[in-house]
Amino acid sequence: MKKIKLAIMATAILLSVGGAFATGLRYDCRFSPQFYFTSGGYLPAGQYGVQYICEGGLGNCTYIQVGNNWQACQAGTYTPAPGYDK
Amino acid sequence: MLELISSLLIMLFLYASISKFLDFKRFIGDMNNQPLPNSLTPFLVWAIPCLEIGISVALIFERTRLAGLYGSLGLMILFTIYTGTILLHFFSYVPCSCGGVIKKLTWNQHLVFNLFFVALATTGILLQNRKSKQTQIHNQKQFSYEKN
Repeated sequence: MKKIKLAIMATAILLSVGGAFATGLRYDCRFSPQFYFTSGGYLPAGQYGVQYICEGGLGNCTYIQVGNNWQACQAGTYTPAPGYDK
Repeated sequence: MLELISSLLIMLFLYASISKFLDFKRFIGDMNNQPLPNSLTPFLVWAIPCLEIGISVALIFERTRLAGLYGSLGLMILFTIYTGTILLHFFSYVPCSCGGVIKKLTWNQHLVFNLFFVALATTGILLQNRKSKQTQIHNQKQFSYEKN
């Protein structure tokens, strides 16, 4: 019985550590320069959390440039960070 | 059953904390994105993952499991209250619901997710207390038997 308990705990630890590494070390578009879309085109978004935030989860907040194309990156609505004067 | 509950809570907290440390820069950004004073960020970015790791370690060992379960319940209640205030538009804006794979969840789904883990931690505490009482009764019976 003790061996089963130990196996359950060990599996939980291995799954969580492995899962975190598997999802955390994937390519993340947020490491690329971020742009936001306005009527004037795509403009540099600045530093996330400092100069801008992404509100809610609907729509595309920022984009990245892939060759000549623009690819959506962060979800939400692009909003200048509260207290940050652009 | 108790081991299963502890394992699920360990998986949640260990996964969440390691994900934060693996992408610490993004976590700082995510924290700044939350409608809390940015002056709290340097404290919270260390306190939250360290607390999560501490709770996970406490849940592993039988001696500290009850403390780990109470810690899990406390932290999950705090997260649930925070999610509730977001959904009730208590703050001036609704931030992104970020963090590891869990970032795919909407705030409503987050609330259900948190409530599930609150229920799980509560069940764990009840089971652990019952187990402790049974052990105590068993020990008392054995003691009186040996005495006679």
